[in-house]
Amino acid sequence: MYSIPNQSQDDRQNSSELKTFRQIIKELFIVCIWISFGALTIWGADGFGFLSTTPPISSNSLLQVDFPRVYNIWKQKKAVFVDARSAAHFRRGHIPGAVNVPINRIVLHISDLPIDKETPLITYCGSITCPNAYQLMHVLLGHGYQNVRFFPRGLRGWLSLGYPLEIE
Amino acid sequence: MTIPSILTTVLRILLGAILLFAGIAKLSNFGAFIINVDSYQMLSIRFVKPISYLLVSAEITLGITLIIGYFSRGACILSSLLFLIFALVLANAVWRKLPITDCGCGNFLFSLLDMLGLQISTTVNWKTVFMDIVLASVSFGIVISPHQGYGLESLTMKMRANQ
Repeated sequence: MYSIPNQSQDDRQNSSELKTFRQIIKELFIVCIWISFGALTIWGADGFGFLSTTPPISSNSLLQVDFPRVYNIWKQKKAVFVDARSAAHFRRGHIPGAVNVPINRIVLHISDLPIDKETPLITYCGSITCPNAYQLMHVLLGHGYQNVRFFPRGLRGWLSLGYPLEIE
Repeated sequence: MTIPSILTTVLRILLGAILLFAGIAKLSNFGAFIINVDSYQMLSIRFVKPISYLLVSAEITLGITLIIGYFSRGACILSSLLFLIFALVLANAVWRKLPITDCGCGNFLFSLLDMLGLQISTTVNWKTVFMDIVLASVSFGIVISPHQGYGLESLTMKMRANQ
């Protein structure tokens, strides 16, 4: 006697669950569209230069240089950039005007650097995890260069802000 | 008005506010945020900017949606996913011992917990990973809760029912 009303109750519950599930899928879809529109708007605002692309000045020690100073130094040609990566990586792309002094070929390439030991030099390598820029800076200080600093974020940090790349 | 519904509403608005203010903070200093995204070393350089746009947009959109309570279940599922992604990315950074000084994951809840002496901070550590998992769980809890709380959606439904 009671089986028929129970079945109908189950059906109603299933139908209600299905309705809720469909509603959630619909909500997900609509919110995803809103997010995409938002992302496109931010992209447009960035393209028109409405967004700040200059990171704050970090607490630089005397031995390192970071954004935005590093870009200003490069723009004003106030220092020679020294790429500590291998020649093959250097050929694939480097900061425009940089000199390649691979960390494991220093003796061969040190002559490529300016003779004046007071010339400001900024060493860099691939990314923030790469230790070569820091090591190269110490080696160059050991070779008598008096004004050497390193750029810790490296080429990845440079490219992430859309700064130019030179390819040989 | 029931207590569970009020609790759901408060939690939803709190989550929304966390996301909205975090998104606005990132948008106001977008350059720093791009650098933060890049420093996790998980994305190819060409994807860093598009993903940054998407993350900021997701935080702001989900924040507004959760605060006003419109399409809030869909928004809660997405915010849960977002917090889980943040937790995974942070865990990866802690695991690889990446030298990240600012995780870019700060929000007013973390600042509040810092003030209370819990030292969540904005550096990459297991506490921030744990907090993101907690936020993801809270967000998912709102989706599966039988009490959907109060918001624009419940208001429009009520108005339709009255008509």
